[in-house]
Amino acid sequence: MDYESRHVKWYWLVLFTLYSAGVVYLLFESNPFLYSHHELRAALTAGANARLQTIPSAPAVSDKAGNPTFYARYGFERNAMDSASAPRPKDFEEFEKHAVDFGIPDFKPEHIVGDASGFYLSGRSPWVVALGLDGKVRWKYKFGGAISEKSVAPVLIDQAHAYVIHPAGEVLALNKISGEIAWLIDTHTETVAEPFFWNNQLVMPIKGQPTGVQLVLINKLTGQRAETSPKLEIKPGFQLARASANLLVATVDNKVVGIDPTAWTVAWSQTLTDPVKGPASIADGQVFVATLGAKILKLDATKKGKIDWELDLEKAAASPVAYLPIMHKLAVLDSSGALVVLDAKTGKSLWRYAIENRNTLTETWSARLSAKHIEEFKMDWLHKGWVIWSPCGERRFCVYTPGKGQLISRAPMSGDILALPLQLEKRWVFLLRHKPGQYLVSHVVEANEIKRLRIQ
Amino acid sequence: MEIAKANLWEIKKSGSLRTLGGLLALFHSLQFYLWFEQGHLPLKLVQQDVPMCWALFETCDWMRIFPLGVFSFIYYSYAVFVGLAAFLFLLTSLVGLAYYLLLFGLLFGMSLYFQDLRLSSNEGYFIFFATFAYLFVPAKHRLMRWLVMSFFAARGLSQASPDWLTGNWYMEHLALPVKLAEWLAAVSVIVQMIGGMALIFRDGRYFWSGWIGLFFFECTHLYIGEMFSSSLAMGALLYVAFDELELRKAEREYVYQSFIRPEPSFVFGGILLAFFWCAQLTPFFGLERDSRLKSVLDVWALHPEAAHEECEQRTFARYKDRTEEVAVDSQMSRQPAMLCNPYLRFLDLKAACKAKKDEDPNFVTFSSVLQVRNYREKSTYRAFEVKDFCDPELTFKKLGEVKWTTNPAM
Repeated sequence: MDYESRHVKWYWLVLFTLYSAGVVYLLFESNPFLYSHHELRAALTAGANARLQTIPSAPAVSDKAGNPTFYARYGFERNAMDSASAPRPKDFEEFEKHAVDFGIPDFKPEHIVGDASGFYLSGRSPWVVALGLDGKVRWKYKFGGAISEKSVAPVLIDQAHAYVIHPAGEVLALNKISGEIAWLIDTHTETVAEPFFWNNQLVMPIKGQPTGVQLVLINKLTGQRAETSPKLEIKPGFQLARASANLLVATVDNKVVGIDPTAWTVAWSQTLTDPVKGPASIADGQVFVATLGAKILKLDATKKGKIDWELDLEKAAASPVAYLPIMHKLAVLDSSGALVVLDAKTGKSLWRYAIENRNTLTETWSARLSAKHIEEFKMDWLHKGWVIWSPCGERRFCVYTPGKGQLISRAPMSGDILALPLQLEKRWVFLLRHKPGQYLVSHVVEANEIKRLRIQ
Repeated sequence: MEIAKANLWEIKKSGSLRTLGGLLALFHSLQFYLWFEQGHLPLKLVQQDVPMCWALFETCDWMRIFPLGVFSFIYYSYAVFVGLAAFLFLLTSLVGLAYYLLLFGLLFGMSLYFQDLRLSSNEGYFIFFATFAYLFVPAKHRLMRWLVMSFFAARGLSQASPDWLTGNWYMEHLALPVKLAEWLAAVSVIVQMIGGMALIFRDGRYFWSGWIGLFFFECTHLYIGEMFSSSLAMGALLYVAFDELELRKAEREYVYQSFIRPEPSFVFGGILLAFFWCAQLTPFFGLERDSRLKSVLDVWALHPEAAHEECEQRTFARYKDRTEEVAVDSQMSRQPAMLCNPYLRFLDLKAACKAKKDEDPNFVTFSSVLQVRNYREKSTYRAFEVKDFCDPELTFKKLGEVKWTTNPAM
């Protein structure tokens, strides 16, 4: 062949040149960015949207997911008011307790949520556990991704599903009863605040680019992501409370921020002198915040967060305040374990009583007492029996009158109280820590109900 | 027998072809060593329930008619035969015996190689294809040089795609800036396609420029850690250099050459090369995705060396009392082109079903979803979405490849 001769003929050279030109053409056709500053890899990346597909593609949609059945502090207003309308008697007793065996070594529940179906526990572990009120594990779910610094978010629950959320942005809706996966979606972006429900949507606050927070709106029933994900100019780590249908109040660092949820924009922002402790506590449009600088402040949500009053406490509040309606009082435990009550209208401290709370739970809540006790403890009928319920001493919870802090009742418990109890008819259900690593589900039942149950 | 004699005559009269025989036998030994390193891979695959068939066969269970003992015999015989062939080719003048040892080694090797698609690799392809050509196809000098050129150029062609040109492969192996990695990837294509083509020229300027370029390229890859493919390429380059020097010497001594047998015809070699290039150029033919011709040609095409797809698989192990998101490990290391292969993922899951059932009595099943995206596509497609993977009725065909299969009973 000609090409094999020691002196290459011109037409072979032409062919070789054409071939080489073809190679270079092929090269630049496959990578048009070779000479530019752009990177081919970036051009080929489809972005997060390509991967934001719900699994399965057509989830078996339940008729309705229903309303949320749990909010931290008994409501999205975070004011720790017992939402059960019926007044309760003063005498309670730990009637039944059930030892819990998670079957997971070193599982420490950090976030405890629950409703009539039981408790849903998560924390610094890839596990989420659904616990029956009988203390038995109903189902468990383990995330595949490692949990590093952030813990798994508190489980969100409604009538149909338990929504479990990994800090790396993965969301699963699990059947509340069976634990079966209804749908899954992965935002592939770190969550920067606790997800929440809003208008039949699950709202996932994820890292915004370059700053702020992006809100991923997910349909609770189908797991489909809304096409738009509004951007909110707020610092990560905020905690929310609802002031009204048109206003949410977020607290983060030393800021209290009003958010318009119709457009997901910041309506107003108020900067305080100290960092805020927990979410705002809201009642009748009034915003109460506790700060790490031992202050309680009242802000007016209708006047762009204008500060109405502020009160200095002896010690910093250990949690946000609980609201006592009608009489407009606030109750809070301070960091020394004392119970403080103040007037919500004037911002004056009414009394402080060292109840020496040594439980893990440092929050009080308010609930109504039945009529016969109103007279017994000389409370005002107009105030409809609202009293302060609080963990007290060691492994106890107590009931106090809001007027003078008179002890109404004290119920001993079998363990350290970890979270606000579930409010069920005629009983409170607590999750307790009996010993390190040993947990109990404790039913504290009204005395009359206990009698009835024993007769049965 | 006449064919063998003719081929043997051709090999015997050329020192470079004898060297090539030794090199090919050494390549086979290297292939055996790699299988050995991976826990006797062919034997491991034979013991698995479901084989992965080559597209050439509808089913491949018939390839497993022999008991494991017979396969073990073939496996170890392969090592012995090719080892002996290498020794005889390189260090003795018993070329005839070496030829037949290599021939039997090839038969043993192919019976192992073709029993499961997971054994296929570009290196294996080169070794078996080149050995077949070396043993059976006449006009070896020209054919082997064209084959070496073709493998270099075809590898360059398979790399002339965005998957390789992103430079990801280099960045995975070396700490490099993105742009430098992109340029290295581009240079790799140029060196292999143009340098490879230069090897067929007898003009020293072209030949040695191409040879030196390829030699340095392979040295770089050897340094990066591509031991197997670079060793093969260096071996092939070594042969081409010997061949070139031998041809120059032969030209000087042409008067002493034997005229007992005429120069063999290049027709068969040409057919083989045409077939090879048809397979490599399949992506440019625009054949139907499911066409039989495409399936057959795909088998003979080189695998892309960089991953051309990204995939995301989510698998949930369902127990009676719990659900866990798990990662299902692949049963063995896999080439980038096969990382997202739904069939391999299917086999992995089926194997995991069996292992989990044996391990934990509370295990119920796996649910799994595989999403795949070609780098050129803007969105993923769902290769499968199965709720009950451990259902014995579930076969790969029932997955429907891109259709959903959801078992509503779960």
